[in-house]
Amino acid sequence: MRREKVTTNFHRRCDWILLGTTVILSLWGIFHLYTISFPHQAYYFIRQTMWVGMGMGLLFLFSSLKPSFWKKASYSLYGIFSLILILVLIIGEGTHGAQRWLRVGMFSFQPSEFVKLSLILIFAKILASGEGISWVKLGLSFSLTLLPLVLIALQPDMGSALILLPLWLGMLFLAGASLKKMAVILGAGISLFPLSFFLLRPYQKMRIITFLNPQRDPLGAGWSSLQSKIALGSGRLLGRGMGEALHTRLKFLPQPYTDFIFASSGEEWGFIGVLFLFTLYFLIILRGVKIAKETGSGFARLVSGGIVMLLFLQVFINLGMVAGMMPVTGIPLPLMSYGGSSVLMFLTGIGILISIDKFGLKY
Amino acid sequence: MSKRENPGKFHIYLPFLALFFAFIVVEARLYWLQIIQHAEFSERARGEQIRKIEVSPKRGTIYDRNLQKLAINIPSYSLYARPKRISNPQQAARLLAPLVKTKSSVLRKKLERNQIFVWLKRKLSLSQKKQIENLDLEGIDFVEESKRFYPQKELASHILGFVGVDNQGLAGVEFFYDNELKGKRGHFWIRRDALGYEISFARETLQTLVPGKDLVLTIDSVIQSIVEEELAIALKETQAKSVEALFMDPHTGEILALSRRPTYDPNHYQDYPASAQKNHLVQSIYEPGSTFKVATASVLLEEDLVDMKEKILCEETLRIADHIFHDWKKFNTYLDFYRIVQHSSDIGMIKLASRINNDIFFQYIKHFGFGTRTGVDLPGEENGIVRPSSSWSLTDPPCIAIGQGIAVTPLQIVTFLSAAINGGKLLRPYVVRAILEPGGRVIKKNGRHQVRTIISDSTSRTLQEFLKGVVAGGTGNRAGVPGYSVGGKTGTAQIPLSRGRGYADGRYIASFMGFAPVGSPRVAGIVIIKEPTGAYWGGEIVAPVFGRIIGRVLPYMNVLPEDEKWVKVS
Repeated sequence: MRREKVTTNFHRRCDWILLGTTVILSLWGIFHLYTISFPHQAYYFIRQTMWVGMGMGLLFLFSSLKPSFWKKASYSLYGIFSLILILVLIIGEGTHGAQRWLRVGMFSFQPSEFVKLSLILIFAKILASGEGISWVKLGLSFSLTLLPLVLIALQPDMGSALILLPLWLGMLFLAGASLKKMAVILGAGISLFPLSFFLLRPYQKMRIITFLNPQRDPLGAGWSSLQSKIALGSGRLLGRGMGEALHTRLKFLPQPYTDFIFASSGEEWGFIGVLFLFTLYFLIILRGVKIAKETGSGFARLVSGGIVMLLFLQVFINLGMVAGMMPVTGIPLPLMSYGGSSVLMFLTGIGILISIDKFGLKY
Repeated sequence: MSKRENPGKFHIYLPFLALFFAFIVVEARLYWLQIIQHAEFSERARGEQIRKIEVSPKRGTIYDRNLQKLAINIPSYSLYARPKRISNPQQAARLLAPLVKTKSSVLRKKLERNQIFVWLKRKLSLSQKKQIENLDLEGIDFVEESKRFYPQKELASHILGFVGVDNQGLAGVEFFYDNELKGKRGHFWIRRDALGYEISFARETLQTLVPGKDLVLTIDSVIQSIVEEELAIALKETQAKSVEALFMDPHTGEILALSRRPTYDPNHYQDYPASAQKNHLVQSIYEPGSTFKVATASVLLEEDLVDMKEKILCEETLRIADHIFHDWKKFNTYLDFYRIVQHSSDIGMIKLASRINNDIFFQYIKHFGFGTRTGVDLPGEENGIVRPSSSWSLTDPPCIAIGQGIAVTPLQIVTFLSAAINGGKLLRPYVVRAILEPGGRVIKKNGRHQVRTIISDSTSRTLQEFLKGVVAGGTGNRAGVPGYSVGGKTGTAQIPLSRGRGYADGRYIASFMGFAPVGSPRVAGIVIIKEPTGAYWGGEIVAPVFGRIIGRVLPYMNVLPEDEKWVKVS
């Protein structure tokens, strides 16, 4: 409506708050990795700097790409990533007994991260086509969710697999599904939920049981959750200070660079630091909602809504896990957790958001 | 499908509103964890990160009275493992087992424990350490610890005692003076990471350790060696169950030597039976027999109940109540007080003692220190048994007069003997002369401690003459030493049955207690032979042992012979 012609006047049309917040968060993540690992393991710091650099490149590239590109590419992207997921199960590499990585040259990728983005695109394309949300659309989108879900669950990476369900539900609602339909789906889901317990692996059951009662086995499965709370609790209001996160540095906190990076921030920078990070995520989400709202209906709106939804879900689930409110699932914290795939995916997502804001809502 | 299914603002805001709400809940939870529960979690963090490491100080050295080292510390090496770093516990256990003399199944269990740290064997020698290091195993290492070492092995082991694996005193002086010897344990705090490794940057020492204090004993190693040599010979000659001896300075109460055979080596105390480790001279009671007649004589003299010229008929037997007493020898003649003691006539002593009022007799016995601990600075001292006069039957006073129906420790009777010959002063015996700081400065000095005066000086002098007579021409003549005047008293007692009344057949405790030189005694002591085979009279088998010891000890103590012909002039 507003901007028919593509004028690549980046400066004029860019959402500076969204871009700025994203950059600050990514740099903060790098800086934090530096303070908790230097000088012993500059490894994480250097690699993450590289990933963020690459991600920023993608962000600028995709922010000047018209959303119609994504609309056209959505089916092929979905196809490609589904194939890659199958490939991972055959020739993938893994740590801690799970095959999640695909090696390309000197880098390992976690295709499950990119699948999330491709699902958002394909949901948007299906749900935005035609009028209303029919049961057919609903069934089709669900089937398309189920394929990667099962493939990721087989790796096994339950956290990344299960996050696809609320993403699908959320996008369904964004697309305008009636409350009645939502109620039916939720009802079916809840009634099937107990069955899923039989499909879980022993360690996954343990995590859920431990989550329900963390004191049951403080040195075993409850260790991560307990250490995370101890690290956070040691931080108090102002934190222990830069480089002084003892619980993290003494390796009591598991995975301080990836899943539990928020807990180590909380130990180092205290509640103030935690509040600061919250504000940044809040700003990104707020800008994203604004973009989605202004974009009206259609593909672009659903894509922007989906990206914000995914970011929000991951932040929420990660913080819930770190604060001991949810089971340990291994969902990384967007933009901050160490890991190339997650960083590249989210920076790409932000790039798409910016491009949607820039190019408008024709699509 | 209906028109309501077209998305409105409602469909954008509702899900995000729900998620915002969730965000606030998380934020509130973080506030709860970080601010409200801060104290609890930082305490837990401290508990996980910080570990207290205790360091044992150097244990004090024990010297004899001439500053010869009797107990010292040598370095030893304790082997530990970090089980998580051992890849093949079975193989490691098999290789280590013969070197540390532990079953390989026991080692394997330790190596497979889910622990960060586990002791495999404490206090190995340097050569054992080298052998283990040659195996080149991963995940095991040594900690240097100090180990107690007794360079003289058995010498004075019953005085010294021994220590356990953590250097804690378990017996003897090591136990009694453990607080002084052990010093104060130091500890420092280290930070450790989740895998149990120390983090050097965070090492903080909070309390310094205080090394243990040194002890100087009253024991004289030379006298102790002489006593031990003679006891070893006596044990062999008499084929007895055990032989014991105790020597004391009668003017101060300092114990100069104390020994028992069979003995034990405190370096390997675990290899010996408890009876060999026990200090029987302090911790066991026995029926003294005729040596106790010195106490009876003291009462008679102190109460002035006997005229020295008075002659007493000493028959073969004497009937008191329903009991017939037999003398050890058929005297059937009149003997005066001096000769009754000299020849140890039971009937004579019983007849004289019958003049003593029971209550007064009992009070004297208690007054002499029997039935009460001497207060020596050694652990586990026995009281002895002295039944009160109110419970005595008619036969009790005559029995007690000749040292039966009463139980004493060897230390008690030597302490009494010392008082009897030093002018009547009952002293508290002791084995530690001084406590020294690590630098050598004296912190505390133990000295002569007089408990009370038990008899008069004149009684004491008379007793010396009596006891000199025993050696000069009586039952104890074999204790005599050429050139020196020795006093003493023999004793032969039967061992009471452990069940019921009466005595075991053919089981005797023969003893001789004495002192020298008469007039100005320098040393008093006792030698006891328990359950000898063959001859069992104190005068026959024990007196010679006492004589041999005194004959070697007196010249060492620079006591010149009284008889000039024994003094060589070069």
